Amino acid sequence: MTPDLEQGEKLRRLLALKRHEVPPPGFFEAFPERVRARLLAEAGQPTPAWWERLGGGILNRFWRPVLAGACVVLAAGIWVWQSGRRPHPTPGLAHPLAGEPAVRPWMESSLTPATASGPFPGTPEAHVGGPVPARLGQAPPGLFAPGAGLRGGLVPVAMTGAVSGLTVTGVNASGPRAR
Amino acid sequence: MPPTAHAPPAVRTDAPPADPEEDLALVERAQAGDLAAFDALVRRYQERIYGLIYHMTAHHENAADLAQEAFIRAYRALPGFKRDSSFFTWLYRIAVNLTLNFLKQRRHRGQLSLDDLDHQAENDPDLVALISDKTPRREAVLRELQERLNVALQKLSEPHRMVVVLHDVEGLRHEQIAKIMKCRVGTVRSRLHYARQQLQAHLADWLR
Repeated sequence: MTPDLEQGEKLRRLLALKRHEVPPPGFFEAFPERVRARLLAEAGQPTPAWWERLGGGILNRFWRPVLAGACVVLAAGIWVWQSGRRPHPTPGLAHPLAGEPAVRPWMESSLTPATASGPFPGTPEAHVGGPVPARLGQAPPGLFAPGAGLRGGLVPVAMTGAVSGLTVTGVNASGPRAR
Repeated sequence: MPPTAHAPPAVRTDAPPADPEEDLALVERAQAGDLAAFDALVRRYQERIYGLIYHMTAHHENAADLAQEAFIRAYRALPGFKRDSSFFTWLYRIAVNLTLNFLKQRRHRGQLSLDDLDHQAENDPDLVALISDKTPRREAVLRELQERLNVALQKLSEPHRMVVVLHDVEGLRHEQIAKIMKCRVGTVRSRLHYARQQLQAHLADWLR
């Protein structure tokens, strides 16, 4: 027998030792009972509903930070959207009267210095803590009603002139057609 | 006929010999919800499954837990069991995958929790031939040899250790191991050859 084969044979004999390793006495007698008990315990538990499984999936360790980030982004989005809808006191934001001076000559007599550079007349902010201007109810010379903000509609304007020689017959994609 | 280095060793197990037809009958009953039938399958294969996992982990508590988990998973997967392989191969595959996954995730390596040797070890002719001329204190020597052997096995990579355990300890054929590990027979042979070389190197002082 060559040395390699002899060593291989010795190794095979040595590995036979592994088959003499046995677990503590009674282990295999109790083992099937343990398996059965666990199966019965699992069978007794109600199967989680789909929303519970979904909730468990969302709230596991991986998805928790993603969910938190999504909530932050959603909250920030709602805040930005709401602040865009609210009439803004500063003229820098898009407001129907943004391009006009905060105080017009017809208001000057009724506004105090404190409110003159503040909110637009007619807005709720303008009335808080200050005197109500006596002439606020009158319509200013402009397209929009005062204080209407973005919710305001067009102020009805009476047509004073007449267009002669033109008859409007309809409107199509290319605009009004005159005959 | 004298034993050769490549002859599969005889497996010493108290479990009844696996009968594929009997297994399938039990599987069908278990699939229909008969827990007693599955219990019979557990009793039939518990020693082999525990042994496989124990020899891979060299840790009794881990092996007990993993063996239990292997049978639980097998029960859950029973509805999907197809007859393209034997129940034995299918169950072994579950245990092998479970064990390999566990060993990949195990953080504390090298902690052994070895089972005791049975009383027949001192009279095993293979072992007697190895230790009789070394010392009369056979029990102590066998215990030391057991520890050295397990440490050497733990030094092998998991796939190499698995092949050695399945072939040289559990007594499976190359073809069976290839089916269980889903690899080619040639791969099994080459892994076995390399693993034995490594073991011989680690246990050189015992094999002189």
